[in-house]
Amino acid sequence: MRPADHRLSRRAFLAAAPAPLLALLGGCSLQPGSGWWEALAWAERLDEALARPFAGRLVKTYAREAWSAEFPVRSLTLAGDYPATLAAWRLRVDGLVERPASYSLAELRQAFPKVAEATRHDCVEGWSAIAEWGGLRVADLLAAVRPRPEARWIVFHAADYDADTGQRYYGSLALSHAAHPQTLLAYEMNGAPLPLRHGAPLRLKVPNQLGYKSTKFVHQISLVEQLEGLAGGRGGYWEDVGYAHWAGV
Amino acid sequence: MQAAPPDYPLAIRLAHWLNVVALVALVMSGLQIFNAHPALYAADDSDARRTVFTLPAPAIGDDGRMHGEMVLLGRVIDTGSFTLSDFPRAVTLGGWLEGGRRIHLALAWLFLLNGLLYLGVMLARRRHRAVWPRLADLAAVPAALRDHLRLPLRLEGPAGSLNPLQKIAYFAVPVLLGPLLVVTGLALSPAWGALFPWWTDMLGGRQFARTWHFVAMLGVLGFIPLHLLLVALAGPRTWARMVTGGPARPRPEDSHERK
Repeated sequence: MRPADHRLSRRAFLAAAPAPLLALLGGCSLQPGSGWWEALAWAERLDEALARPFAGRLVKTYAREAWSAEFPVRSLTLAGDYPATLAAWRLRVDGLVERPASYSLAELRQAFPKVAEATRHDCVEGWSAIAEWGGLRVADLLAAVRPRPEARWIVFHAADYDADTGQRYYGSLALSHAAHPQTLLAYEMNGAPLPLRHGAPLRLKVPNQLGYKSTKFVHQISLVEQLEGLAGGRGGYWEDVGYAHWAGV
Repeated sequence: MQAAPPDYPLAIRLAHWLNVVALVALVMSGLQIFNAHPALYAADDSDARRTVFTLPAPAIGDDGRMHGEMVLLGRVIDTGSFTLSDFPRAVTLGGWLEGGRRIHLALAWLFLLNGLLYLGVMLARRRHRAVWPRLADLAAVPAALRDHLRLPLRLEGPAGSLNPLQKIAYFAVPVLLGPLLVVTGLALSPAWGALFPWWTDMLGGRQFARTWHFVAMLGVLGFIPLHLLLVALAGPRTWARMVTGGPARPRPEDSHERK
């Protein structure tokens, strides 16, 4: 082989070098807050910005035959006496609203029109399950409590918690996403009262985002101007772990 | 009209090497994501009765002994002492689910824009004629297969054009497999599903789309070793051309080298 060939083939090798180098990175953990983590933030923002004009689109609804035989659950821990407290359960709605309110389950049923629709729950882990959720539209609740102009986020406080850290589960949505007509506060699943393992007595259902946005065991809803200062400051238990706040992809 | 011989303009070389980086990282981060739920289904939901594939996870048999058990196309296969609960760290990227997702969803953009650049340049420079398979190419496949099993390798068809196997591969990967990866990947997004419900339905539902996405990835994985083998056999001069561009046809002083 002539020297010229040698040089060129080395250049070819160098150009192909990124592939084996990536293989060396195999298993390296990309951690929230690291330089590489932040360097990839643009994709999440781009996806959300592109989806924003279509945020009102309705997801597919399913007939009864399509309901899943099994619906997996990824729950955190509940206090042992949680079921015993449910008789006195009330939903508190407070924060940046004109008319703070508190509702028992019977009052929620009576005050707001019931919506029941079967949608597909897409978990960030990769699985999907279909069930019918019955409850009230978050939009109807917002209309009743009247958000103040400075309110930007709606925070859902849950009763379950992380047994390791004691951190309470919570989640949040941008007010514009919460107003989607299919965003429900469900007290029924597949026509029966919401089972305990699925978040009884009341859970959020956000069918156009990944499952971790659908907070279970909701007992307090607060409207806020900013998410900073609340727990990890990223707007939810899973968001504080590192998962995206807008979970449309 | 005789198709032009292949050459490698800068945009094509750039797209190719960006693609190498994007695809390797996409496959590895994709396996990381797969590990969070290592099973595939032929349904809209994760219906256990329609499981297409699981890794050979450890299971306890009727005899009470541990063995590997995987599902392939609905059949349960006993893998004996071989077990693999998830893809090992060496072949994954990101370290945990959202680490993998973050890399995957960012590089998906690189893959998409890069693919559009490649296809755009091919069309604009009318290079697609060089790789577009014709009926005559399909008829010539057996002869080309024979050529490929014989050394020294005949890499070029008549008058320096690509041979039929090359045409089929270089047509199928960017024109069929690449778009299939994008189409099936988009179907996994709940927001995209709300935008175009028919898109996910067309693929048999969300979990079926996830299965097709995995199958398309296997197609890419199958192409790479064949491609690398042919590249290795083609020799250093061809490798260099894929980096530096180089002349579209061998220069006269090269003529003594091969053939």
